[in-house]
Amino acid sequence: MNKKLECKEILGIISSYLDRDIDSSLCDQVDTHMKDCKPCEDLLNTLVKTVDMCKNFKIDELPKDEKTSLRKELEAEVNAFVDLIKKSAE
Amino acid sequence: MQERLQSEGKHPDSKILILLKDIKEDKPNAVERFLQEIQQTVLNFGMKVCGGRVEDAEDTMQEVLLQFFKGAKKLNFNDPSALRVWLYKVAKNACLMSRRKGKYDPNYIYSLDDTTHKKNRDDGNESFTPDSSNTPDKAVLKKENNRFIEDALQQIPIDYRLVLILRDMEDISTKEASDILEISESNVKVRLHRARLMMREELSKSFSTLDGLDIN
Repeated sequence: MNKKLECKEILGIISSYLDRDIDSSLCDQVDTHMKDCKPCEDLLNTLVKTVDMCKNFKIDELPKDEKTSLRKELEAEVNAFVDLIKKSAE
Repeated sequence: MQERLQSEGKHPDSKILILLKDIKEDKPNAVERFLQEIQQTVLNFGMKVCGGRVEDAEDTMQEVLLQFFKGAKKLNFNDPSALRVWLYKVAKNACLMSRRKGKYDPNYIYSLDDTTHKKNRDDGNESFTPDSSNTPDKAVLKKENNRFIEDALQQIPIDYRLVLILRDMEDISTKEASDILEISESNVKVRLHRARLMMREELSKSFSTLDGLDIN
């Protein structure tokens, strides 16, 4: 018989629950708690939305297709890197 | 709710692998495309972490690229995760260095912000779905939402902000974040948990409702 989780316990594991980073029995207990607890359900929903917003957040100011004029030292490093990659393919 | 839950291990490694393969096969503009990808990643990450403008982030770009390629030569090219970890590590260090120099003082961003934008927030009149009469199209709405997120991010302490950005914005795994930040995986999880709650709290100041739900 699973014990009932308190709201305070939910608050402590809600992020792991979101990532499915808790075992299934604990996950079931959270699900059960959510059905009967509106504040925790709201917390979960708003946290899901927060994470969704973070995942969809894009910086929209980035310059596109702008070639960087590489300094000589950097150019040498890039060339050395490219040579090593090509050699690793041989 | 299940389908909305997050899952671990969704990495955009395939992009780096494809670019490396293109370089190996001498495909046209492969090196330029790889450089572009690296630069976009660094700029994007730097702006999220430091809240700076593109020009500020670009200042440190060459230095970050130099450090990246110097170190990348020693890595296993068949392991895109190792390259990604190294890239973010270099970018993170550059961001932290810039902050120490004062270039990315969080207040700097606020002083440049549109005051109307901030004033509206202070009025507490905004919601997650702003009044459509003031938002002529989706692009404007998205831009406005992005600004709220940018502002909210800057209110989160840097140690937590870094974890939130890496895990929830850059699709970096817990293990990779642990390697990038040089902290334990359990510490990454603890910081992510707190950072998400802080972010929720910050966003709730800008948005009174969320898809009809009261965020407070």
